[in-house]
Amino acid sequence: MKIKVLVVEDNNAMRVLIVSALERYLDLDVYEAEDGFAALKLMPDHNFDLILTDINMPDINGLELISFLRQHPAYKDVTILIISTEAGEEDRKRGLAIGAAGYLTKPFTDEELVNLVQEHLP
Amino acid sequence: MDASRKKALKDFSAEAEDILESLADDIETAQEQFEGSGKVKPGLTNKIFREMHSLKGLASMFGLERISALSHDLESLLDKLRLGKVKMSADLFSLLNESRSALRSLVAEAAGGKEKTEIAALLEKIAKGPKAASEAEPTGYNDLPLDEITAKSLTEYEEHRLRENLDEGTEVYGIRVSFDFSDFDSRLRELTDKLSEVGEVISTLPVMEAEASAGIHFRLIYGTTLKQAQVEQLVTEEKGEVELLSGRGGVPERSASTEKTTEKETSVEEEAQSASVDVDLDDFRDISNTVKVDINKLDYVMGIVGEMNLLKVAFERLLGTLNVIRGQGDSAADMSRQVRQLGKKLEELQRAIIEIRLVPIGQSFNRLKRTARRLARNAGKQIDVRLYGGDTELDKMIMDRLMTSLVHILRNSIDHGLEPPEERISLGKPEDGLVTISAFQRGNSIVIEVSDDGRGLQVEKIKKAAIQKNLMKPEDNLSTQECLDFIFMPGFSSSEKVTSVSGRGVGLDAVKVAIEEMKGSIGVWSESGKGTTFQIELPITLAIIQSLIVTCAGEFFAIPISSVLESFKTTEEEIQRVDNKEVFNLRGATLPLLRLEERFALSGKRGDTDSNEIFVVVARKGERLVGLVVDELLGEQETVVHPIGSTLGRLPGIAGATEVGENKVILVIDTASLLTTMGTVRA
Repeated sequence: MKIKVLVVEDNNAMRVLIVSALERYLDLDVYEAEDGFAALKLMPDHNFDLILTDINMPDINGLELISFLRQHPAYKDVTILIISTEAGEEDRKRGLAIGAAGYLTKPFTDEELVNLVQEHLP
Repeated sequence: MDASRKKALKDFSAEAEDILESLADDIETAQEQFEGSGKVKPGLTNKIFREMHSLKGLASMFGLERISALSHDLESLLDKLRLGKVKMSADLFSLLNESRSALRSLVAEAAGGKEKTEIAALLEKIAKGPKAASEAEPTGYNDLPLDEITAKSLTEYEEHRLRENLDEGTEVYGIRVSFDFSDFDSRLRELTDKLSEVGEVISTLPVMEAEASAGIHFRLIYGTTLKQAQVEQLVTEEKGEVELLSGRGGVPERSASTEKTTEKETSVEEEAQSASVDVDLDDFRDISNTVKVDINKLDYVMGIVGEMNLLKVAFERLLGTLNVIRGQGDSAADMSRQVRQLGKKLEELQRAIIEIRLVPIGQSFNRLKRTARRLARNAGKQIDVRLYGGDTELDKMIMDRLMTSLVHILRNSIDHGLEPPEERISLGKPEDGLVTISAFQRGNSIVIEVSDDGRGLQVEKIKKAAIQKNLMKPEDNLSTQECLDFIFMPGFSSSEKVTSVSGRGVGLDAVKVAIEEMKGSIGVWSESGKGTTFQIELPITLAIIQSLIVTCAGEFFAIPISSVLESFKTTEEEIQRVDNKEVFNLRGATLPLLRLEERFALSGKRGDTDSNEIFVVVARKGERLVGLVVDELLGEQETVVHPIGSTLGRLPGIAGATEVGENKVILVIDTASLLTTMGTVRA
């Protein structure tokens, strides 16, 4: 079975870039969610191995998503990576404090993305 | 530039343009809020920040240096703004607007391969930027009884909003709500919208419940001047549990029950009242009395009413048979009365449902006004937008579809109609161009007019273009009105230069198609040097239309009553021929005729072959008339028009299909598209 990865990012073009880079360089099943709600909806039916999430999103933000996943018995062990920005340093710290395993700072190259994901794959 | 780079840049500019578009809207709204109240709603500031953030992220991924640099600095500035580290000011708005137009140029240039617009001066301005606001000491935040998980999941922005709410003396509540997993997103968004009308939803945290029941639970942090009982009332539908977190000067009040009222709570309430703005209770009641309904559900109910109407017709027919049976006359008369009553009630029900679907046009008008101002700024023109008839009501579905068309017409008026300020002054016109958007009801239709006081349509120029495009011959003697109507032809544009705004592919022909799809019509009037008026006429609702049922060559057709002016009986002998076309002399005017059996190539025979009688239905589209020749008029009926499947494509002359009587499906005539295919006469 292929490894399942979920990309949560509300900006369409950014999400497409990330997903296509992951598909191009790694042999993964990549799922995408356009916001936190969409991510929550995908959770019960997919046993994700890794989740990449943006922080600044409408409705529920990345930190709230991480915090929920960490409390949930079924999802508490999934690896979470943060897609962060230079300006979002404080939020990135908070994300790491509540259980994210690593982060990327925009802008990043395909190589940086792939390396980070590979490093955290089971 | 290689092909893949080119494609990537194209993707980029499409996405970036969308972002800039909403950015422009939001900055405009923010400016209006700021000018009105000296404040901008925090949610809006955050939205602007997020848009700039997205743009920056995109630009940097595509390696566009100037867009990245500029949006990066703007993002940091907006970040400080949303976190309250910088205060909003008029200067800041002009800086934002200047930056936005620079970004717009850069995005356009990037699509061509190279960013050219200089940004050094702008970057310097942003760097010198607005002075930092002195940050007030946080009040109460540390005393908030936030559980550890909630506290840790707040972003820096949410934490700031929480502090701001406390500083402003707003109450902060924790609200726990549960939803079914299947539709939690739409229901939670609905709740958030409702709450946001009278407060601010600061944080939304999905939580695990200890007793893991089905569904999903959320904890909202909500800032508002409402009292606890009022907040509880707002969330009764969701069975929300409300807890006051900002119990200033005392032990925080904890109440999980929605019914319980303790003495202690009353004292907290009194305190809240003295500390906060009093809330207009009438406003508040209005909120809880409103039910939002998915328009598809209304369509479904409307469909049922349509079917009940058909049943009523079936009853009436049965009654006809009953009358014939001897000795049943009295019961038949009784029943006939009851059926008539049923008909009346059905009509009432229909009207009531249609009324639910109606929304005042005013709200969309304000959006149009903003768009118009933005378009004018981009075109370097000054305008004064006036709105009339904002309380006119129109079907929600039609309204939504209409907006695109109205924006396009506005673009036309602003780009091509209105003169630049200098030209207007030299013409002795007011410097600001006047654009008027008005709506009013006319019978069962809504009329919307967009007028400008610009240079008007140039008939000669239109003629020249029409000849060039082979739409007319130089020797044709067309009236001014007929020439003006060429602007609605596909691919027609008399404009010599295409501006960045209106050069976006959709022409007035697309507007016309869209309006006609909604069973409406569009017309244009113009006077050289004085201005142009577009008039759109639309049915109030699409759901049910009254139709005239006719037969022709053995086939049934429904003609919407809204396009029927009159009908009369005549004979074949009365029909005259002019230029090999059939016409009828109607009270001295020549009425062109159209035989439905020829138009639709029907080969069937009429029932009474020896009869010489024919009927003419005078149909109207805008200001034009045509006489439809049919064999028989069967009467009026309410019809629910169903679209025809895509296999038949868009059949000119046919609007859809409807059911009559015992499951018989007949075609509904679309007079608008029928008329465009033939010569017509002005009314």
